[in-house]
Amino acid sequence: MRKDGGYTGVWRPGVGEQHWVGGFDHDDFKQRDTEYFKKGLRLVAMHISNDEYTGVWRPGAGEQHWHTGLGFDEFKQKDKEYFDKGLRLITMESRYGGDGIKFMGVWRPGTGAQRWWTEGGDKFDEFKKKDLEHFNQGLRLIAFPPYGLNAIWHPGSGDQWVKFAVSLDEFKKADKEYFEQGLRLVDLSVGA
Amino acid sequence: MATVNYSAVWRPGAGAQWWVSGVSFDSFKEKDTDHLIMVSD
Repeated sequence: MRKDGGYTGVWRPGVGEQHWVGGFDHDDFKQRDTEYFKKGLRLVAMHISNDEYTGVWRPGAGEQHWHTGLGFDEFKQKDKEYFDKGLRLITMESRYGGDGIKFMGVWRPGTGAQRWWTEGGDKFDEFKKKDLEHFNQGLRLIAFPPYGLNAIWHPGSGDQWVKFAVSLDEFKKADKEYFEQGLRLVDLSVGA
Repeated sequence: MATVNYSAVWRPGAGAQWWVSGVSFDSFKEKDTDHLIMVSD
């Protein structure tokens, strides 16, 4: 397993089991996921970097599907199939593969609307417009993963604040202010 | 060396919260164990 990597994590109150792995290859990750699935655990977070897989599992039930290496059209089609079956996207990633941008996604049972969006990191202004549009429709961000700009919205209410590509000091300052206002991190990612 | 940047979303919530970034696997594991023990206690 990779031991020199830059690991990032957020902890919040919770109960029950928790398992995570980092630096696994695809086959080992799949095998571990199958083992945990049989024990009633489901992915709540997944990340791939340099073909190394990181995942977090918590107690859960019902279906779970994840796919990697999908082209945009394949990803869109897969998402539609799962949406129609009552599954919702809980996290996604995009990155350049050998022949274009490849997508990863995890789908779990869910209800209601879902929106997702993907663009390059230079499209933050477009993201802000899209986010405001969805916010006004009663949707809130449940994931804001790398690389470039990816975002997933599910039904929600209340405040929501976003910071994109800010320095560590700016992030720490924002986190302190938001924490004091009764807000907590729902997603955190680190890029270069 | 590339500058590291942070992207995050905050939503209403309650209770404790900890985060770390840029730590090694061993350090991350240690932090995770610490937080698990805090919650268990």
